[in-house]
Amino acid sequence: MKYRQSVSEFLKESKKGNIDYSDFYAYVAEQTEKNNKKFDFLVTMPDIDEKTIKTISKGNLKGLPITAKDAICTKGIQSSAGAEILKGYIPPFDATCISRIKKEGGIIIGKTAQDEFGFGTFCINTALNKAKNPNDISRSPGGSSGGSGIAAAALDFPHVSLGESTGGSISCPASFCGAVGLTPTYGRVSRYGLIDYANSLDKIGPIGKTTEDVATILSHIAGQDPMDSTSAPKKSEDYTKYINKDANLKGTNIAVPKEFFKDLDAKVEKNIRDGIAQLESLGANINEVSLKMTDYATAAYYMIATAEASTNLAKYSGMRYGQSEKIEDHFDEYFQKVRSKYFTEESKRRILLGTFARMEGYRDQYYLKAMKIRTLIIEEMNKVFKNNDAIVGPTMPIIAPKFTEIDKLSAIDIYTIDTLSIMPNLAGTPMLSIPCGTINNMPIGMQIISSHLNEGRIINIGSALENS
Amino acid sequence: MTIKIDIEKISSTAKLKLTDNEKKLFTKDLESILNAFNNISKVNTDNIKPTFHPVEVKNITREDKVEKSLDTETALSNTKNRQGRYFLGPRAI
Repeated sequence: MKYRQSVSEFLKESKKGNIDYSDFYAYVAEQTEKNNKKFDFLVTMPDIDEKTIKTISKGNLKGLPITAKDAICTKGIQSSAGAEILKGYIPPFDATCISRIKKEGGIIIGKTAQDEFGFGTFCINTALNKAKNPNDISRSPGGSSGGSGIAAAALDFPHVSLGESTGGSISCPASFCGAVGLTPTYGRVSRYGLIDYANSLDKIGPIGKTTEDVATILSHIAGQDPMDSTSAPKKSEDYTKYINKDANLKGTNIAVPKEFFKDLDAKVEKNIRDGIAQLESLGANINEVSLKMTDYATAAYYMIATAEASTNLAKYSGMRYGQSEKIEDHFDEYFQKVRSKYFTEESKRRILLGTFARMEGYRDQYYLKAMKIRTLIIEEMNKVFKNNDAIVGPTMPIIAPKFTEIDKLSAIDIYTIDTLSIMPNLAGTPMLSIPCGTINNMPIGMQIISSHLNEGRIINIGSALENS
Repeated sequence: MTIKIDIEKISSTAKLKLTDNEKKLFTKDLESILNAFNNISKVNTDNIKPTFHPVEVKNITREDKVEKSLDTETALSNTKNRQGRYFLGPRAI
């Protein structure tokens, strides 16, 4: 097919003026609708009309189709964070990452399915979509940015999706769907305009078909933003310069934590071990290390994330935006009525857990304790980075499970599945999940983690593996 | 130590009205989650400072100048509950 190009091939042709955008966007709409019927991965699909097409004139992303997780605000397009309580919310502004994409000529073609507010590992905690894995529709696409994982893996035209990760929500769907997901350092990409889950953990990042695709998009969305005081005071750079075309990793030191191979599906382990052997064959030095704090990461993460979420979600009270009811009660009864009616079961569970962790008498024991454990996790990882350029291991301990298998899992079973991606997310370090073999046609992801603001290193290692 | 929780107190603080079935479900869930997560109590965190943000940034403020903000109609465009130029809310007292 004429549009089965990589992002860089498309952009090269687009800059030369060789793309007929009316024809291209007719193909984009047809393919997107066809895939959406099969995998239900979009919450909203705006119409790309001739007027929009005529605006395509310049920029480094000239004419490139982009999808974005539903939690990322897009001016004039519903942004509901996969939540029933926010159904119908039309933001009057763009998130910074969206305005930067638009400024470079990118076109927003859809808002992708997700677990409500990012609360989930399987993209099932939402009333708005029933998203399915493009490799096997009886299985989950992963969460919470499941729709973005599907879009990256299934759409056959040049495209990148913007996901968001709090505890692994970019890596997990990338791993389960067979895509490349880049979670940047906390603060590398502005959070302005992101419907938040947990302020000290949320990160926006790209999911695409290749490391080069995600590096291209990161180059244009990274960088300090006056609208986000937690954005890192560092200008963006051209991340495609780190692409390792020669697949040469000579002199690269890679740490493999033994704790990342506990409670792992045996076939997943074999594929990841083969991938590590491949890195070694490209010249990398492999060093086994220990990250003992891995055992405490899940508990610390859920205490911090739910405590922050429980305060963030206090704003959904049926007044200024989102679902509302007839105003006739005292505020206490009114807020309870709206919140109890529209939040999903998982949102209620996380609000309750986070409220408990912050309550007088428990705050020190749970919330503050978790914050101190985060300090120890960062210290332990930094110690490893003193002698190593990156940490490598499996992204998820399993392949995408079937929906019938998920039905049998308890809340705590599901939370512990996130452990491996939680470590870098708690520490705020950048990570790349890259396809690393399959089991019965289902993809497996390898995660490559580096130190703060060292996105170039993970792009270098990931692309070496891709190009080998 | 086995943790017991008071679901009425937590849900009232969180402004959630739970059905009897939800009360049973969430009591069971929260107790099993908190008991599993109690492993963090084993970690010695004496003299360890909490990390509120994983990447430390200090005193980042933007220039103090007046910029264009949303006009009233745009700010009210996502609510059904309004009175004139204001949001309409429930009774506070």
